[in-house]
Amino acid sequence: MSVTMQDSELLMQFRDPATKEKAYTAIIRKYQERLYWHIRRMVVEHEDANDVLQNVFIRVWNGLENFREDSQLYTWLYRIATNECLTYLEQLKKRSSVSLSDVESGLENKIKADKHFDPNKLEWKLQLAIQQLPEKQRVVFSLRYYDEMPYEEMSHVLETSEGALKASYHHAVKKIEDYILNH
Amino acid sequence: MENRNNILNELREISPVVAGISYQAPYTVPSGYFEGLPSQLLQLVKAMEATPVLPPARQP
Repeated sequence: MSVTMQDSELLMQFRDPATKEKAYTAIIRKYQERLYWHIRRMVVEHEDANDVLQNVFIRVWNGLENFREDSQLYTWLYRIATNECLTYLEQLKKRSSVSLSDVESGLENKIKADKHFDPNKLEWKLQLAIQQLPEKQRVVFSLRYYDEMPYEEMSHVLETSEGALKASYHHAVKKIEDYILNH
Repeated sequence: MENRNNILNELREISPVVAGISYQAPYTVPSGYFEGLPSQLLQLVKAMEATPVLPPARQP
């Protein structure tokens, strides 16, 4: 699916030096919340989500001129955001010389440290359950469940077949169900 | 984006337990965060472009 007319207009403006800055801020305004929440659910803390989101939009500034309009702008943005999240989690793992499961328990602790955290509320329990998932399943679950992304578009974001994504989502939901029922 | 009802129907088939949970993430954002972000980011990329890149160190 190619870019929408509105995005196409923004891209045209971005390529014109006279309107580049205006187009850039318009793109940020249009997509910042969706991308922020996608990132926030992956990295948990606001400060970290802010850092990752900043990196995403720096990449957008540097790379948007070369964006080919044969896919939707938002799938390209989600791909950058997802890759930045995974890079962040990888760096976290390297910095602390810990295993991935330690990073996951670190994220779990960050959830529990949130001032609004309530262990009796199901939506918080769901956040804890999501952090138990392997990274790829966490991304798939988040894109489908929260961002309501069709599998076809998700396959462009994650460069994975629709069948594999459906299977991954199914496994993720089953693991979450298991966590909810046993905690 | 896909219709929320389609997502929920699919979810109910896999797990009615998970389908019954509110899908709003419980996190909060500092007030005014999104309002200020576009201009902040624009200033940031402009500052990065204005920062001169240091030439590589001379070989002895």
